Amino acid sequence: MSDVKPEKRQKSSKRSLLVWSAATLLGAVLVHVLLVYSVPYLVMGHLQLQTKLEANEMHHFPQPTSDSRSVVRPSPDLLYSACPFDLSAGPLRVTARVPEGYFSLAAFADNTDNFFVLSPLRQQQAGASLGDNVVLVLLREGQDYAPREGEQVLQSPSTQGLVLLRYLVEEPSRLSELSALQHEASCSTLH
Amino acid sequence: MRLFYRISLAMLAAVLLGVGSAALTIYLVGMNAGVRNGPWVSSLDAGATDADPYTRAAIALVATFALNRSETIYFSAFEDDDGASLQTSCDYVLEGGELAARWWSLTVYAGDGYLVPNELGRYSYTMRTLQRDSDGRYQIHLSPDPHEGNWLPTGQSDSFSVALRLYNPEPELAAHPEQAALPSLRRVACR
Repeated sequence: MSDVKPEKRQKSSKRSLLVWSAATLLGAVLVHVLLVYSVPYLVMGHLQLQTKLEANEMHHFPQPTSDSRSVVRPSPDLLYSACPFDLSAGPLRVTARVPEGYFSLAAFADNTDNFFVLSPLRQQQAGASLGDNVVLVLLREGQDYAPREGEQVLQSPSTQGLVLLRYLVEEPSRLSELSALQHEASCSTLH
Repeated sequence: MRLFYRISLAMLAAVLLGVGSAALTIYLVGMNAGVRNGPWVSSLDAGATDADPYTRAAIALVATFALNRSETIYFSAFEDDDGASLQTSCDYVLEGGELAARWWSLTVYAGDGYLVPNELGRYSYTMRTLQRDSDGRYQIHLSPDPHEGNWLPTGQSDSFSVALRLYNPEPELAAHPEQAALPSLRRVACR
């Protein structure tokens, strides 16, 4: 470098700084975009790690308390049942008994997108009244299934995800009845 | 060797810039995405799969598995009627009347987003469990210290928030949440 004139050295180091700054900025943009798109997947993955729930099995929970610290802002007036699903071994059948009060069955993709909600009270579904069975079969792309009578078939946008059931405890005095109904919900892989 | 250091520095700067700007943007979008109604904020897009990536990231983080607004409307209050953030060092009164939904509840959360530990295991009031005046209105005291009548403990963390959940809201309310007559949140005294 000793044979290069001082002005040329200045110019080339300024240009070098510009190039480095531009490259860094580009890198920052890349990181920014990747992170924003990844957040929903990361949230899902983090929850799976934290809760360690067995996939393709229905897990029943009592009303949340201050000890419930896996998902933020849980409603203390709900009974939650959760079936993390993995459709790689086959379609998933979910069954649940409809209670008297508010009840919903929601399916979430691996990026937490809510792609399906079944809510008998609001949707006034024929046959979905107290004590009835709700049967849902989840398929991923490429899977086929011929539904039996009363079964609803649903396409999942991702192989993994979560089915979440909510039972509202409207009458605290009848909690045990509602809890018994909750525990009748199940999910399993169809081989 | 100098090149190695330069590349490492540039990459570090890119990561810090990228992560920092992503986090800031998600935070800003999340804070401004919702419909405002007095001290209450609601996210219009909770549960929707067509929201922009920043909104989806924000919802995945703070309203994981929330359902869409025709099913359930979630309002949160982090401030009182005057716009001052809710502090456990102050006492508040939540005052309201009936709401146009099949069922609704008011829940207090600690600053970390989980339910407030307390001896009574009291976390929320529902439309059924609230003590009402003769005209059907109610007041709920929000304070770390016990109160007669309706009282929700706010706990020991610095700040807290309140969640208002409306299940199966009337179509009018679902369409115009900013116009609903929601409870007022008045600061009464501070220590």
